[in-house]
Amino acid sequence: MRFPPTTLTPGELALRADVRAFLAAELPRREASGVSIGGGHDPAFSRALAERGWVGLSIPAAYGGAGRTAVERFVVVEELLAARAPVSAHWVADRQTAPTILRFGTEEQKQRFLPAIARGECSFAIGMSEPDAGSDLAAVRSAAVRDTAGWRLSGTKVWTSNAHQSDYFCVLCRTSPRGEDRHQGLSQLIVDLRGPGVTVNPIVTLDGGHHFNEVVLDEVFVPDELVLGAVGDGWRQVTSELAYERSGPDRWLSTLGVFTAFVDAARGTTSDATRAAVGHLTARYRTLRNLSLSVARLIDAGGAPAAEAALVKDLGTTFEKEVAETARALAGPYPDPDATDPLNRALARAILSLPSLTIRGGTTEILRTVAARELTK
Amino acid sequence: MTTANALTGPDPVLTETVAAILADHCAPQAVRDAEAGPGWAPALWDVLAEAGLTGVGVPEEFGGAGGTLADAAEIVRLTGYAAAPVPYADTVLVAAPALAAAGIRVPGGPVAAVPDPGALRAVRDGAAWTVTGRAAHVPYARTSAHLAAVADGPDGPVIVLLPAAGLDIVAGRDYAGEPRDTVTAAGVHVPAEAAAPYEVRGDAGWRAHGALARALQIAGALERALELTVAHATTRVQFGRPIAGFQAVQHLIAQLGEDVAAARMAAESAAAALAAGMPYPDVPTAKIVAGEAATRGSALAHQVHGAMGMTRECDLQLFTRRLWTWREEYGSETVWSRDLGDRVATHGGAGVWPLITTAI
Repeated sequence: MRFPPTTLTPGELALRADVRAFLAAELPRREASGVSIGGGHDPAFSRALAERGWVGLSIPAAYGGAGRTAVERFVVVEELLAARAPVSAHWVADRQTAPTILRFGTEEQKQRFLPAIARGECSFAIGMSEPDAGSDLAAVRSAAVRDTAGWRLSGTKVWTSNAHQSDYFCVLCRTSPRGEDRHQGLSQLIVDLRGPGVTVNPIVTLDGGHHFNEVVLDEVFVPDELVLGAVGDGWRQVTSELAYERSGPDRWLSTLGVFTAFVDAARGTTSDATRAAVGHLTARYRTLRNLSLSVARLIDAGGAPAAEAALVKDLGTTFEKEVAETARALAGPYPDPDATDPLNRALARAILSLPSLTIRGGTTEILRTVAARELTK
Repeated sequence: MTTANALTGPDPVLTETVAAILADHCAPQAVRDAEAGPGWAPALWDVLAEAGLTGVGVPEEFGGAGGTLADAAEIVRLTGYAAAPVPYADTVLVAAPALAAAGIRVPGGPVAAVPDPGALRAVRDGAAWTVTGRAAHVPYARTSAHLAAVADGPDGPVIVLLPAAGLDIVAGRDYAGEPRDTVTAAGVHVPAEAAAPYEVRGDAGWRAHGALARALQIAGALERALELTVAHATTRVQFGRPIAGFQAVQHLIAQLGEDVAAARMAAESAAAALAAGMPYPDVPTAKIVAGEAATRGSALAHQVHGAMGMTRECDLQLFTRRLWTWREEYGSETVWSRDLGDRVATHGGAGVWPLITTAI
């Protein structure tokens, strides 16, 4: 594996300056909270971003997008996340649905969905995990049977972030019975989350929050024109989608708010341990960011850095936890989820969500297996 | 570097050429022979010199061979990959650039660098200087014809080029058996042309060059440790299959791969940053990240190698003993973390994001 060092071009730096100026003006008027998929849900903010061309960045101009590169998307996204902007209304569509439709979708699907995504007016959720299919995604049991000009889909999806506030989700399901090769016979169907036969039930997380849902599909009719890509090609499509999901800034920025509050509290400290922790964590942030940026550059160069993305996600998410645990160990917070001072508030929020960071989007164990397979090839 | 917008890296032909030279002249047996014999590999130095590599990064008018700092950094990384028992990094990345920047002609042959500025004192003697003091743990002092040092002078630091002949040198060694000697200067006369005020160039000083050199060597050696580890895991059979087939072992290898990736990214970014004249925050970052990677990575490599890795017979120790030395030199990860942490904390949380995303 090779991660060529890279830096931002003048054009990319200009884009960054525009985004920073926009956020400085816009965010004080809005509630910023959380990061990425678990962040604030604010469709008006997503539309305001879209007006500037910053949603669906990599969608070509022919489909209403900005026709920008993976690195330009990286630049916008890292600024949004660092500023804790409310991005969840467009997050999944921007990060992975749009690139997947662009790569595998029909012309009609591209015309129908991509311009709407780029306007910030069409939101997606992910329909992969099931009660009995988590890391072992090919074990999905949701199944669609042939019907006139379409499919009848039944099954249950879980951990569906923001299903209750999204328009569609892409459901990975069986469209033919499981045979010798369990990766065969899978397809992705685009399902209207507000359509008949779809029931969305909340799953409340241990911090009391509601981002996750269970989505029950009871003989939901999916017309042929909403089959994403080719029938039976679902596994290949989903695994390529995972590369978009894994390497980005959302995998190392989740606890930046803890770190900045920790640094503020560390001002003027005489503690060697605290000074060393600030330096150590700053150095790690800098290096992770450069690795993550390098993967975006590899994608723009036409590569498919799936193993590299897995490696960066493992490094990034274990680091996010280390940031919070280091600040906790040195700052000695009081365990108050309603704390008003910035460090205790950020720590409370982080600690109650920390275990999820190395689970969502591929567990540590899966990622290390993927990376090792490449390293021992 | 084939990627658009990549930082200006070394010429890929240079990498190939140097890697081939080191593969031919610095096989593990040559490294063992150096340790068992004179403490270094003079024949390897001669090969590098004949190939024009020992003056890379130094302008020709100061005795160098031209080329960029990026080129020099790449060669240093490759010498780490080969565990090359020569003071290449110290000569080319620490001593030579500082001498040339001060207008002092760089002599041919290895130039040992005294790691600690201020270990020696310089006083004026007319236009010339007299140098006294003692410096410990000087790499390759006894095998080099010249030493370079930043001495304390009457009006600030002075860089001096010292002939080894005038010094009292007591042999010492590091974990890898490389020379780390104690040097005593008892009123050594240094002519005017071999000394000059040392202009501290912001963050691009002596210690930064040394830290970058060691970070690059670590990145190279750790990559080799990963290759050795993969080779071992895919051939060593237990319970009827190669141990690379066990998930527990795979995960150790993946983590080692992460350490290699982090160390190399940090070191190469720092080389580019220093070349661009803005070593902060990338040089401190490089020594911190490389030092941490050396620590965790060497432990992982040994864990996979099992008992065999604890023997002199196994090649792994040629690299891990160097990793354990290099992480301490020119400031350990702890020392640099405190320095960087001080500076970051001064600017508060609002300064963190601009610093992390600084464009080189």
